[in-house]
Amino acid sequence: MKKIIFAIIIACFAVSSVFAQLISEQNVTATMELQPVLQLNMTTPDQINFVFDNIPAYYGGIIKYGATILKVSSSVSWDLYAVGTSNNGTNWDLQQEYNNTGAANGRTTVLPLTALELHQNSPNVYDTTAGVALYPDYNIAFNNAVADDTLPGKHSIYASPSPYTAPDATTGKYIQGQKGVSAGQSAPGGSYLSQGGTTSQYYFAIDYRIIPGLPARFPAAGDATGTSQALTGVHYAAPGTYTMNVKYVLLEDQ
Amino acid sequence: MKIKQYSIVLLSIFIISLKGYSQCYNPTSPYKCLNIEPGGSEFLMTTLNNVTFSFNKLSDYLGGITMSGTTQLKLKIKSYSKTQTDSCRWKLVMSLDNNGSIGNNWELKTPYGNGHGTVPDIGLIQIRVYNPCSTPQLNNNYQTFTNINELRPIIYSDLIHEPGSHDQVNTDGSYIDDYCEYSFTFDYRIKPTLSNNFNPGIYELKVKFCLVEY
Repeated sequence: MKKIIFAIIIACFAVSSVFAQLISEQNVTATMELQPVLQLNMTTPDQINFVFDNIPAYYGGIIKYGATILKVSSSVSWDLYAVGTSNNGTNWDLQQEYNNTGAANGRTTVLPLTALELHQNSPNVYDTTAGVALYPDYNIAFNNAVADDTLPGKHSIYASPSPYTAPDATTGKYIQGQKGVSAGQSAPGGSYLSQGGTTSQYYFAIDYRIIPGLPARFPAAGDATGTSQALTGVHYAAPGTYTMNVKYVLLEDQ
Repeated sequence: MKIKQYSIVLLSIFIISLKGYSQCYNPTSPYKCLNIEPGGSEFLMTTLNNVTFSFNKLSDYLGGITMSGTTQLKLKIKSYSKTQTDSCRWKLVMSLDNNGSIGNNWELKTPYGNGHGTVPDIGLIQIRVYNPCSTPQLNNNYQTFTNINELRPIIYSDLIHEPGSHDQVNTDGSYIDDYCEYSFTFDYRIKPTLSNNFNPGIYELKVKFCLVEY
């Protein structure tokens, strides 16, 4: 009896393999690596010179229209800001002082970076949420020098000794986007190539202006909150050559 | 008593072994095809079982990446008997597996960035199947999946299609002497674009090809 049961069981196994249905599977594993791609193209010269050598230039300022063209492509949500910086992150770097034959009363080589003003051709449409600075972007058109002198910081570049630290929403300025990751605080991924050309959210023409005034105190200089950073009292800018660095930083929304 | 216990256990094992083939999907008709075994049917994938897409340039995102001929399947199907009134028939389908990830998303292996974007959907991958005789159901057309549980047919006819018909051939035959109708080539394409705002990272998805008797 034991042998019969054992034989039946073995037979069952044998039969199961003969009558097994055709069934089989092959697998392919697809791996997809999405690296963040942020591309900022600047197709214009990286040197911009302002030469103040006549009285009208001091009074009315010098404007460089469309001196910088920026084109953005990004696979992630992004913000774009400009930041003025130098060796100390606050004032222009003095390269050469002219006619320094002795200390003159009020003459100073400490000039605020915010003397440089910017204007962007298309608005920042992603800085409309609450908690932004008085002047959160560079969208306001240049007015005449007299009018703008009374509104310091309206066009001034955001300046910082830490250019790679994203500006704060309440004290900084952005060309596109805003500090923060909530909805409406960053531009979506896309490219100037495929979205709208020169009128798109991914294309910016930047104008520059400097108004020294007479005496040269840069009355329009100020920060994003409207606080004036113009030279005060008896101080005026010493003649000479000064340089500063303007960085355009494109970063993933943060 | 002991023999009874042993036999119950062995019988249970036997039943379980029959049921164990349901991982692909369940066949529905009596057994006329020989199973995958020496001297029986064959289901070969002669290409690598990994395909990797790496997007690190603008042009990759905008234009996509296409991998052509990356997967090739070859079949040799044998019936038990050539004298049967209706032949051994089979189906070939494909499906996706995201390892249990949420919904219809790719499985995230490693995140990059801050994770404020969207997770890629399985509909992102496009798969095209073809052979020289154009036997697949949607021959040479890119297909996408809308649901992780979806089965996309490659050869999927209820009727008998004999070799030589060049249309959904699903009976016994071999790639060795009929490569045209018993081999299948697969292309893969992924086109993320920029506007989808996908979270950067490494993602994985398994493509499953199932051959089953019908």
